[in-house]
Amino acid sequence: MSVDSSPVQVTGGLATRSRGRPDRRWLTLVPLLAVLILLFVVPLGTLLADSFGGGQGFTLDNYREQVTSPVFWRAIRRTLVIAALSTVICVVLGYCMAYALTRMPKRLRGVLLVVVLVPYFTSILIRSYAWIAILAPNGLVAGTLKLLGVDSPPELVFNQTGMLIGTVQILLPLALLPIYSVMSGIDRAPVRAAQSLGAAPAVAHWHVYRPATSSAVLAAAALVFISTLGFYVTPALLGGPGDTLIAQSILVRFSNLVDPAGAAAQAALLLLIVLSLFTVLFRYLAPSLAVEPSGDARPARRADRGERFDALRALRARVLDTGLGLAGRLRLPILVGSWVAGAALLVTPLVVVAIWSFSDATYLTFPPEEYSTRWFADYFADTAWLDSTFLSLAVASASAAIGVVIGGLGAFGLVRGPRRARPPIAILVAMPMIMPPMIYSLGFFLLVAPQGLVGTPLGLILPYVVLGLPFAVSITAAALRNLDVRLENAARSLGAGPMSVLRHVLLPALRPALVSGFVFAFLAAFDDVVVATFMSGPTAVTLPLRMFQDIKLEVSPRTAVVAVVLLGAGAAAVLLRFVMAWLVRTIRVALSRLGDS
Amino acid sequence: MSEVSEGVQAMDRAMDRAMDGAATGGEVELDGLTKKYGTVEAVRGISLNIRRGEFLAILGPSGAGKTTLLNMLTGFEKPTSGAIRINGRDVARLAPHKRGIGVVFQHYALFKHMTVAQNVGFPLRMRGMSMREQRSHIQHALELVKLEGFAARFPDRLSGGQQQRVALARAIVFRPALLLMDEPLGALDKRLREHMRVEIKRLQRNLGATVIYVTHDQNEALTMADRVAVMNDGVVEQLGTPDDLYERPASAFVADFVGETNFFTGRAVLDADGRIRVVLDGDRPEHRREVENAASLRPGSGVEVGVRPEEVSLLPPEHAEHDQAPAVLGTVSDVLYEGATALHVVETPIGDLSARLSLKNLRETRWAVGDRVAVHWDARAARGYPAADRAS
Repeated sequence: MSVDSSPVQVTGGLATRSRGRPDRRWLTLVPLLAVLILLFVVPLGTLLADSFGGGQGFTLDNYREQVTSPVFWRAIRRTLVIAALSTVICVVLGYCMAYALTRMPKRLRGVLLVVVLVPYFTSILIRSYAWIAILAPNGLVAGTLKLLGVDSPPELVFNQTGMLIGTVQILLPLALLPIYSVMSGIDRAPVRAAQSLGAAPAVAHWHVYRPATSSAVLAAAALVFISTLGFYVTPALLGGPGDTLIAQSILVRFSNLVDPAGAAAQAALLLLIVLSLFTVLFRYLAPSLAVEPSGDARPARRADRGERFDALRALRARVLDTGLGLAGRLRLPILVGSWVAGAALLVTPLVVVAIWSFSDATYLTFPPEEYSTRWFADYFADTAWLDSTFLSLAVASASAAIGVVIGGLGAFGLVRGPRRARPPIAILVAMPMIMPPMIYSLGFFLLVAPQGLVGTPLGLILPYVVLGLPFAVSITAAALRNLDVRLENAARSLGAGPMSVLRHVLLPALRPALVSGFVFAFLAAFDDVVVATFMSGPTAVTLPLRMFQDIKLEVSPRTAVVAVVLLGAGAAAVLLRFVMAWLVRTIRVALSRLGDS
Repeated sequence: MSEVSEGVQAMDRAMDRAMDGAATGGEVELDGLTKKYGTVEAVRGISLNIRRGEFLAILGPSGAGKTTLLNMLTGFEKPTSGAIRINGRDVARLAPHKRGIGVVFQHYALFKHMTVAQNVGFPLRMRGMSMREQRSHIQHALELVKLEGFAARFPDRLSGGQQQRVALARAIVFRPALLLMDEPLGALDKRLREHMRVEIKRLQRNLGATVIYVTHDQNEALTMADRVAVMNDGVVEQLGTPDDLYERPASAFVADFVGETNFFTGRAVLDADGRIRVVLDGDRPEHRREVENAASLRPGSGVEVGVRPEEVSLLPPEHAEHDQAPAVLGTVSDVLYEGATALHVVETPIGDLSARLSLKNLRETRWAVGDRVAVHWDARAARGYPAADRAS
């Protein structure tokens, strides 16, 4: 991994580095920074430049037009409301579910974590699509209600309700997982101490346990909120025609109104919102983004605030007591209820997709009236769909591979390189993960459209490398931080050169991290609709984009078929890995026995 | 000290108003306390009376049931049967927060996000005391543990010993009828541990607090407690004062667990004079030895005899028939110099044994490895236990 050409000590710590020979480990950061600057910072710069008039001279007209448009403000307000609602629901539900997890027997905990993780790794597009089948007028919920005698079921989809349900389902794991990871490390002794000192269980939880989770809760809230701000696929599929969110508004301005500069101005305004939020919430977000914590991530400590507000305080305490008393009595129903609701929310879409793929109908009815495999046959006979599938597989694999190499090198430079450069680089690396894809894709398109990259595989691979990099870097960096630098020093002292250290020490130790970095980067590319919307051409349509357009055209079981094929392939890959590992072990054992006798 | 107790009295009065007259130093009674997990009995019918203002140590090896007993006292485990009466009121089925027992937890369990003052004020806040009233109580409690001036600090800015004091202050500030301490000194280094022993003892005396102190460290138990309950296998093997425990251990287990003891096996015999004596395995059959606690032995059955190393003396072999207590001949196989004493390991027909000799004893004769010696002890220093007695 080291591109260091110097034959001297490069991997050791300060103490073992030879004097006078410069530490050149920072060189491993060069490819990473080059990619991020050329393919991420420059596109955003192009976006900003175009929003201010681009080559035609500086102007604020584009902004003036957006800011004075009531349609734009409505989109902003709608986006903020949906984001706030989904944040509250995701965090409250996620908190209860995470807490319930920590109080469960180990085996059940494992099963329920799978319930959270499988949807988390499933395509957002597919999960959103499944909600149509569940919530549509002839879908699962309406059908169930009809059986129960409700003739006019409420409208649940193609409006803001559907949008909210879909968003919550997609972002719930994002809230639950960081909260759970912090909760599982919390010592329960102080909670017991609080109880012995006179606090009822719910009171002890509130005063002692909850404060220990507060940064994780804030981080989860920030992640969900910022992600929702940039959501495109889910609102586009589940919202009604009038329920445009800001990301859709940008795209409408770009493609329907053919006003790239106006779209750029809207994107720049959204960028401003996201960046301000990111700045304010950075210290809570840092751990979840695997940015090296630069200080105390705990919320600011409040010392005694004197006795002045005793009366007010007493009132607040009484209100809190009543609430906590209630919560204490309803503890079990709340925790169990959160899991019933959460698990139903997370799993139903997957089950529905699996069943729906065997529907015989050409339109949406769920449950299907007749079953067949005709849609599978249809898919495997359709060259356009197969071409898209292969294109997506190739493009995602290529970008993930490039991302892992550049990201792995960069992670090494980030962890072992100069200390002072770490925080700014770590923030830069995390940015593509925070950035709404609509902003970035538009910027990238504006940059490369003149170069004729649109509609070529390379035009897709380059932005996908950027989308995958945060995962590759953060996962590898986390593994490197846990890897004792003395291992490298020991290898050096035993006579290994930089390349030997890389081959015999680093790569074997980092392999799991690199593999999961690849998987995450692959999924980031493979799940994308937004970049593809800009960068696909008539001969290069990615699979998610084809599915997206197909759904927009007519809601047929075709996407369900693709989903089942993909999920099946994923499961097969995981299974194959285990089988291969088992085979290799068996063969090794057999060979060693052969050698012995 | 009078100043301190005046403060304590002032606190008491204020506290009485705030917490329905509860006062420090309750009378505690455990009555047949039992805890079963499935078919396993972790605690088997423990009954104890703890007097007002008494310091009771519960001493035992890990797995003896100390933690289960403690959890039943604090309320985190429900007893299968039995009662816990504090000042006559059975609290065994009350939730932890309704018991009013002060607990000092093993690793302090301080609230990291609260200041020292907020930690100490927590039990007062839970009892609905106003900030204004809390302040003086917190102040007093911090004075008692000598942490004045630390009120605004956060626990992670304190040393281990200081954290320990905060935990202590937090547990006594609400004048609990009973103070429970779970290995409170376990996390401190040796010197600090010895210092805190004295501090805790002083505090307990000044407050007149009733204390149950759980530990596996016999030194702590012996030096601090008024009485010690030695637990083993879910029961109290012996309850007594520290000197009772050391000088008159009621069972082979106690003799072994508290201090060091040489054990010899043998057989009880009924002598012509009607007294029960013991013949040790490997010893000459005519050596019928008198032991303490002989009444508990059944003639003809197996016996364990325990003798403390410091009770063993070594004499030149020609003194073998020194006086009425018969000696046994042996060879010194090891000498471990300990400073004020030297431990001599001697191989004898009745088994290897150790003798701890003081420097004063050694002034006349020093023994070297390989020396032949006559091993000898006073009959009053040997205690006999039925052989099946030892549970572990």
